[in-house]
This record gives sequence, structure tokens and C-alpha cells, in this order.
Amino acid sequence: MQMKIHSVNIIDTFAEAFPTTAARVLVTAVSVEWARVAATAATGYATSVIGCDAEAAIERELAVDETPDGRPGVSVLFFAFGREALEKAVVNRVGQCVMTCPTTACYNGLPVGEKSIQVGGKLRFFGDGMQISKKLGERRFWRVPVMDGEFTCEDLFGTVKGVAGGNLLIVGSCALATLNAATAAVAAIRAIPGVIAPFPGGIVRSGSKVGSKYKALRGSTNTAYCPTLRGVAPTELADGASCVYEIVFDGLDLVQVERATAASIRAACLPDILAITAGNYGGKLGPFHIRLHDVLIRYPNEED
Amino acid sequence: MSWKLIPRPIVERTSLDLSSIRPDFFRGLDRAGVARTRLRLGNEPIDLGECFDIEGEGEVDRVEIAGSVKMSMYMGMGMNSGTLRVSGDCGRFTGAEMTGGTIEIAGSVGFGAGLAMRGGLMRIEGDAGSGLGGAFAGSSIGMRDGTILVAGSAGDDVGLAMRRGLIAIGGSAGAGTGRSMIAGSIFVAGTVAKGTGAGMRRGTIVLMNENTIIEDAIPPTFAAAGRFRPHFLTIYLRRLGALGFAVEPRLFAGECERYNGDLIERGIGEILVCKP
Repeated sequence: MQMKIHSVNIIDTFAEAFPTTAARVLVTAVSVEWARVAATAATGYATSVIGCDAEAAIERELAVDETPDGRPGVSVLFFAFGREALEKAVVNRVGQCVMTCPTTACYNGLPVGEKSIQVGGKLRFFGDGMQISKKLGERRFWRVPVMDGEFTCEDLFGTVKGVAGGNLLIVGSCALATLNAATAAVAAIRAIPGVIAPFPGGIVRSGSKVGSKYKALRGSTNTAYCPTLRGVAPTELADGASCVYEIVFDGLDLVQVERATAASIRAACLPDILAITAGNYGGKLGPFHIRLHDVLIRYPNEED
Repeated sequence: MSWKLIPRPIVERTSLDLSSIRPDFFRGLDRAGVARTRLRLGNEPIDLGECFDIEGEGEVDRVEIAGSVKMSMYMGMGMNSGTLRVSGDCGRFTGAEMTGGTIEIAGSVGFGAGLAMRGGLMRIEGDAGSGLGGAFAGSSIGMRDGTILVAGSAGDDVGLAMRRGLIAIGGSAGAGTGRSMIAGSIFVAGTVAKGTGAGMRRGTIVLMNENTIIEDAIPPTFAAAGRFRPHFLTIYLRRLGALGFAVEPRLFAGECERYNGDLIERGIGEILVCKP
């Protein structure tokens, strides 16, 4: 079946996504700017679990009535393969990038159940015995003395089974137009709660395929979508294509990732965009197959 | 619908042991069963039906005492679920060792309310006597968990040897508030008397009255540690507000003066005095 939006060809294919473990971390500070500074540092080098300990990005800003301590903040999502890996990544990143940042505090943003990770309970040892525990109902907060007062960090953070690897490939006839379309797609994704696009600006230019001619590498450049390799490697690109950007996004559940897929496709259907497709591995690796045509039908507009 | 127990004159004259009046004990009982519930008058058992008129029927998790029982003791002791409401005053050891549920008292309570409490919520709309949330005589550990809210004032030794939990006093507190405290949190909106925090090992006492004369209230074995804004305070104040405790809006901003102590113990307890 052929589908077009504003003359952009939507390829009848699917994005192949994977189960992952996710946590939501609420970072507060004296101002939203300082909260963002801490969150930006904590989500650095967290683009892909292929080469990083976690995938992470800022989800959104939080108003003072949305945070536990009544200060402005940001919500950050972390994704990793397994709770153990997630705990290690969050503890390290909060410890090195949030605790060190002036005025910050750190709270759990998901329901805590059996499958939670311990963050404050690990970082408390930095207090060298002078840390204070405050338990309010079922929630425990650790107060670690630091040089501008104290760093407050919740003991346990809830986790959920999230979905990683939602993706789109935006194929354009002009590099700048393709970048604009990709930027619009990322903006649409960021408007959906529970979804992040962890790559720089949410956009990937070095999309990868599985495997390499070099044994040491698990992945290598996606030759089929490199415009400059036409003629020397098999290509998936139509005539006139000169640029491809990939959008990769993770979500707290499949529905949000599907919504993000639909919203981002619509947002990216701009002039000079030839086609929008998605990356997959033939359906053999990931259990979640997000069919582009299907989600566009099921989510007729991004508000749904 | 709830079980409604209307005190008879004997309740006003004598000191009854009311520890059997608990919503969880009444579960599954009919009116006759409730009437046969054994109370104690001195060393002798006495049927509840001889002391209270009973209204209500059926499977309910709420008991209401329509009157005062201030001569009696152990009301709701060890209670683990449901709601117990007293429309008047209560006597000694109300809610002692309770582990869950809610006790609401429209009047005041006597000595030792919430003694060695382990969970649940006690809401006192009047005043509380001494020993609130403290320890039984001879015990080294007081309240272990739960929440006690007092709209009025409290007597001496609030939170004596308290191990965990939250006590909030809307009025003033007597001498020795938080004495020998092991951990937990005590909030006092009014004034406190001398000996506040004496011998505390850990835990937090928040004095919300900005005019507290700290030299009069705390022992000299506390060390002034400057001013800062503890972020956990907002979390606690919001929680107290959600539970219906009156919290002044000014407390959500501003800093606290911190005093570390008691230095004759480990010294990692704290007294916070809220300042504008």
C-alpha cells in the first residue's frame, strides 16, 4: 500500500524496537536553569547503549507545583538493558553530575515497587557518616551534607519496562531541508510525555547497520542510506536523495513510542523531503514492530 | 455507616481499660457480639454493652465514640486498621502501640498518647498530655513509626526516645521535647520549653516559631551550624498540609537556623528554627 503525506512517500515498513528498563529522575534546583545544567551533564554521553552505559535525555521542564520540594526542575529519563545496569548508570550519573551541581536535589518520578533501583541509598556514603535519613510514609530521602548545604536524594527510584529503539529515517533532496524536517520531528517527539530522543539534538547522522567488515565492531555505518556510497554499495535511496537523518527515541511504554512515531512522521513531512522510512533488522531482533502506516492510521493526529 | 458507642455514666466515673475498642476487633461482629466485647474495670472484665449504648450494624471499619472517655485508658491500643473517632476527650495511653489505621479525637488526650506507636495516623484536635509519642516506662525506644498531629498544645517529653515517625504540634510543647530522640521528626508551631532535644542522638526537631529564644529552649550542648534551606522541609510541610495540619505559607520559603546535637550523644541530630 502506498501512503503519502504532503507528497512525502511514507514507506510501508516498520521500526524495530526493544524492551528496556527505564527510570524517571526529577532534578530540582534553585532555578530551572541550574536544574537544566545538572540534567544536561547527567545525560551527557548517553546516546546509545551500544557504546554508553545508558540512554538518557531531558523529558521536560517541571513547574514548582510538580516537584516534591516546590522548586523548579526538569524530568530526566534513563534507559538501560536491565535494572542492574540502570542502577549503576543512574547512581554514577547522579553522583557525578547532579550531586556536584549547586543547589540541586534529586527525586524519583515513577511508582516504586519491587522492581526499583537504589540511588540515594548508594550515594549517601558520600556523607561520611554525617548523612541523614528522613522517612516519610514509604519514601526515604537521604540528606547528604555538601558545601552549599545539603544534597537531598530519594532512596529508591521506580523502574518500568520501557521501549527503546523507536526510529525514523528522513530522506531529503537537500541537506538543510532534511535537517529542518528532522528538527521538526524531534520537537513533535518532545511534546509527548514519557518519550526522549537521546542523540544530539535528537538527531542521528551516523545511522548504523548491524555488523562490520572489522571483527571488533558490532555495528558500522548504514551504507544503504549513505548518499555518497551509491554505486559502490547497495542502496535504499531513491534518485534525488542527498541527505538522510535518523531520529531515535525511547519511551516508557509502547503506546507512547507509537504516538511519537506518528507525530514525528507528520511533523517531518515538509518540502524537499522525499521519503520517510524506518530501520529494522528484519524483525528478528526486537519484539516491538512499529509499522509506520499502522501508527499513522491509529493515531490520526499527535494530540490523540 | 459506623459503630456508634455512646458512653453511659459509668464511663465518666471510672477508669476503664478500653483497649478492646478497635475497628479490627469489631470486624465480623453483630451488635450482640460488639456488646459482649470484654473491657476491663480494674482487674475485672466487664462487657462493653454495660458501659456503652451501641448503635450501628454490619461489616464496618469505623467506630465512633459519641462522648468523652477521659477517665479511661488504652483506647485504640495496638489498633492496626480502620478508623476510630472520639467526639470528646480521651484518657491515658490512647493509641499506644497502634500499628495502622486512624484515630481521630475531637477533644484532648491524656498522658502517653501514641506511646510506642508503630504506624498509622492519630489526629488530635485539642491538646495532648505529656509523653506524646514517647516510650513506656523502662523502655529505651519510643514511637517507631506513624504520624501524630496535634492541633493544640502538648505537654512535656513529646517524642521521648522516638525512633521514627512524625509528630506535629500546632501549639506549644512542654519541656524535653525530643528528649533522647533516636530518629524521626518533630514539628512544633508554637513555643517550646527548656530541654528541647536534650540527649538526642539523631532526628530532626523543627521549631516553626521564628521568635523561639533558642538559648532558653535547647541545652548548651548543641552547636550552631548556620542557616540554609533544607529541601526536605517542603516535602514534609506539604505532607502535613495534605493531612489537614495548619501550615503557615511563610514556611515554604526562607531558611532555617540549624543547631547540631546533642553533642553529649552522637551529635548528628538537628534542631531547625525556621526564619523568614
